[in-house]
Amino acid sequence: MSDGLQRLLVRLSALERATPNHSTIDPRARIVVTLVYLIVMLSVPITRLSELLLYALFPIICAADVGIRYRPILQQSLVIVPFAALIGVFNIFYHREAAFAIGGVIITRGWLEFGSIIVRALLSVQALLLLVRIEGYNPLCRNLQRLGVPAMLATQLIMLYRYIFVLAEQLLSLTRARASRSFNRRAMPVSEWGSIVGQLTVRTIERAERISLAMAARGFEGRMPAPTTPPRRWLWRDTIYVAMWSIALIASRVLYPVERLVQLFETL
Amino acid sequence: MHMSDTLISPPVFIATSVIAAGLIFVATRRIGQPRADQLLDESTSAERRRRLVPLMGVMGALIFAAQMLNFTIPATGSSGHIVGGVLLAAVLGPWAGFLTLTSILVVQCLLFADGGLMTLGCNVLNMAALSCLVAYPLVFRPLVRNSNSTARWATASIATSIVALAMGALAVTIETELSGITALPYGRFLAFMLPIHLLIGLGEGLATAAVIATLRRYRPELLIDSTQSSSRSRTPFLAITAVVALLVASVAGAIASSRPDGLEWSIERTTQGTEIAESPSTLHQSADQIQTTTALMPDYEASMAGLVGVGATLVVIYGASLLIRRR
Amino acid sequence: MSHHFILFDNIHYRYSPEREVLRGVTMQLDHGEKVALVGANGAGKSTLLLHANGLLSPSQGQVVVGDMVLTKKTLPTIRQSVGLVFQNPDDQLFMPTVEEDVSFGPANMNLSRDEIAERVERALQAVGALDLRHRSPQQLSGGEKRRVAIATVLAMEPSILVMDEPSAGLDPRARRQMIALVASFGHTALIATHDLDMAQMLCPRTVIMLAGQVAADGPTKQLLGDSALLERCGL
Repeated sequence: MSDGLQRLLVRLSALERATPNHSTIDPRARIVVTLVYLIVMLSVPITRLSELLLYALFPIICAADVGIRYRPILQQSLVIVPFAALIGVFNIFYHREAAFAIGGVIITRGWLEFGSIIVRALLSVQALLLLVRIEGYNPLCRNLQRLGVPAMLATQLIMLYRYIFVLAEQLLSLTRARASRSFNRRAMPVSEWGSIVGQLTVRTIERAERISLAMAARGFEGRMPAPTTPPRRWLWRDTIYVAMWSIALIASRVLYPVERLVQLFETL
Repeated sequence: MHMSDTLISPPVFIATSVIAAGLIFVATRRIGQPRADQLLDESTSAERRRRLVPLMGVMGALIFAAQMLNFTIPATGSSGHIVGGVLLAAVLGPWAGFLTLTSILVVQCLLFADGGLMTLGCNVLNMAALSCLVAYPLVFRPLVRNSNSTARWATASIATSIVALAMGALAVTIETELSGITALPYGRFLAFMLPIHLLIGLGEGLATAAVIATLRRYRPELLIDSTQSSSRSRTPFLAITAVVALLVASVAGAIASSRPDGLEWSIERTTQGTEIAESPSTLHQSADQIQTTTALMPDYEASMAGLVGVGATLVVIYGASLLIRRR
Repeated sequence: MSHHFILFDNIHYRYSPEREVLRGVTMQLDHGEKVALVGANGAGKSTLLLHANGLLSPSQGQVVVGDMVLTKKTLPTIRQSVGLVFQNPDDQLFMPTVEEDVSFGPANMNLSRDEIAERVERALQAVGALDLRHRSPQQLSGGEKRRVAIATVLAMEPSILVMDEPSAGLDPRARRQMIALVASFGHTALIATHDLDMAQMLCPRTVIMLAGQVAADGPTKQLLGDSALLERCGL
C-alpha cells in the first residue's frame, strides 16, 4: 500500500515538467495536433484494421522528433490492453462473418474489430502519454488555459497537483500509524477507512483555511495573477507544424494510402 | 467506470465534450456566487472565491490521495476506492464539487491515462455531473435537509451514491452503444454494467457515509451546503434536465440498437449455418466490401440524432428553469 | 513609511461568543526592533499574528502600522508593509515552482514584469535560495521550504516581518541557518516561538502571553531567567 503510494509520487513528479529540448514547437501546437490525430484516428471504421495500423507511425515519429525513446511509451501503454480486450472480445462472438482470408486462414469481421479496438486503445494512450511527457504537466495546464480552458479550472489543476504530494504524505503517515497497530492487510474495512479519510478531510479543510489566509496576506483577491514569465509567442513554424500534421493526418484518412499501395502492388 | 477512447466514436465524443465544456463554463461562473436563498452578508463573492480556490485544490488532492487507499465492503469481500462526487458536493456545494471532481478526472487522464483525452467529456458527464449536479441535489439534499440524525445522513450518502453510480452506468452504456464500436447489444451491456455499478455504488455510499460521519463528529459546520435549506436553488432544475435528457437518450439508444441494421442482418442471412463464408477472393476486394459496409451503417446517424436530442432537451429545460426562476 | 512601527492597541478577539481568545492585548514594536512572542499553546500567539496585517479584525481595539490605522481602506497598503510568514511552509507554497510562488505577492501588486523579476531575484538572493528557483516545493527539504516561504514574503518588500515558529521542525543545522538568516534582516520583526534559545539569540525583547493577555513584557534575558514566571506561563 504505502509502497504503491510512494511509487506513484515518484512517477508523478517525473511528469511534472517539460522534456528539456522540446522547445522548438509551441506546446499549443502540439496539443492541437494531438487532438487532430485522435479525432482522425478514432474516426477510422473498426473494420479497417490495416488503415488503422498506419496511424501507429504518429507516436513513433513524435517520439523520435523530440528525442524521447518510444519503447517506454509503448510499454506503458500496454496496461490498457486487458481492459480493451475485455470489451473487444464481444465483437469476436457477435460478428462471426468472414472478412478475408490470408492463405488458408479465414479472418472474421469480429477478429478485425477486436484488433482495431486494441490498436485504437494503444494509440490513443500513446498519444496522450507522449503529450504529457513532452510538455510536462504544469506547462500543459498553463497552455490549456491559453487555448481557452477557464482560468479557474487551470488553477485548480495546478493546485490539485501541488497538494497531492502534501496529502499523500499525510495519508502515508496516518496509514503507517495504523499499520504499526494492526496486521498489514492490503485493504481496510470501510469504517476504518472512513475514519482515517474523515480525519484527513478535517485537517485538509483546516489547511485550506490557512492557505487562504496565506494567499490573502500576499494580496490575493480571488483571481490568480497572470504568469510573470512572458509566455512563448506563436511563431510561423508552429503554424506550419500544425498545418503539415493536419494535412498529413487528414489525407491519410481520406485518400486510403494503404489500399492504394496494395492496389499498386496487385497491378504490378 | 473511466471510459477509454477506444470505445467511442467521434460524434459521441465531440457532443459529450461540448456538453461537458458548457457545464464547466457554467460552473466557473456559478462558483463563488451566493445561492439564491443565501443572504448576502459582508462576505462578498470575491471573499468566497478567495476561500474556495485553495479549498477546491486541497479537496481534489485529498480525494486523489484517498483513491490510492482501497477499502473493503463488508460481507461482500470485494474492495474498491472512492469516486468522491457526493463527498465533494457535500463539502463544497454542487458546482464547486463538480469542478473539483472534473479536475481529478483530468489529472487521472493526463498522468495515468485513466480514461482517454477524447472521452474526458463522457467521463466528466458520467461521474462528475451525474453525482454532483444531479444525484446530490435531487437525492442527498432533500434527504438530509435540516436533519440531525446520523442514520439519515448515512442513508442519504448511500442512496445518493447508488443513484449516481447507476445513472453513471446507464450513461456509459448509452455513450458506448451510440458509438457503435462494441458489438455487445444495448440490453446485455446494461445488464453487465448495472449490477457491478450498483455494488460499486454501495461501496461508494458506505465510504462516503463513513467520512461524513467523521466530519459530523469533529466539524459539523464544514458540511455547510447540506445543512442550509435551499428552497430556491436553481440546481434541481438542471438536475431534472439532465435526468430527462438521459432518459430520452436511453430510449433513443434502445430504439436505435434494437433495430438491426440492414447490412448486418443480410450478412447474417448469407452466412447462416455455414458460420464461415466461402473464402473471399482477394484482400482488396474484401476491403472494398467492408468499406461500403461501414459507409452504410446507420450508426452515425442514430448517434447524432440521439445526441442532438439530448442537447435540445437540455437547452429547453434549462430555459424553462430560467423562466420559472424569474417569476 | 518613515516609521516602521506596529502598535496593537487593546486587541480583543473572539472566535465565538463564549470563546474569547484575545482579551485586551497591547504592545508596540519600534522601528528595527526584534521582539519574541512566547507563550503556551492556546495562549493566543497565532491569533495575534493574524491581526498584524488584517487577516483577522479585532472585535475591539485597533492595530496601527506606521501612521495608519488598519481599516478596510488601508488594508492593501498594510498587507504590503507587514509580511506574514506562516508556521507550515506547505501552507504558504501553493504554486508549482519556487519562482512562481515568490512572484505571487508582487504579481498581485500589479507591478511591471521587470520589477517583479527583480524582486524575485532579490528575495531569493536574500534567503540564499536563488539556485532553487526552478524547483517545485515538493522537491525541497524542510529548511529550504522555510527559506523559500520567507522569500515569498520578502518579495513584497515589507518593512515589518511577522513570523510564526520559524525554527519549528528544522534539523539543528537548518535551524542554525534559519537563525542566522533572520538575524541578518534589518526589519522590525515579531517572532512567535517556543524556541526560547532562538528568542534569546535573536530578540533583545520578549513578550509573554498567557490566556489571551500579555503576562510579561521586557528584556529577554530578564524574562527568560525568571523561572517562576516561565512556570506560571506554561513555558
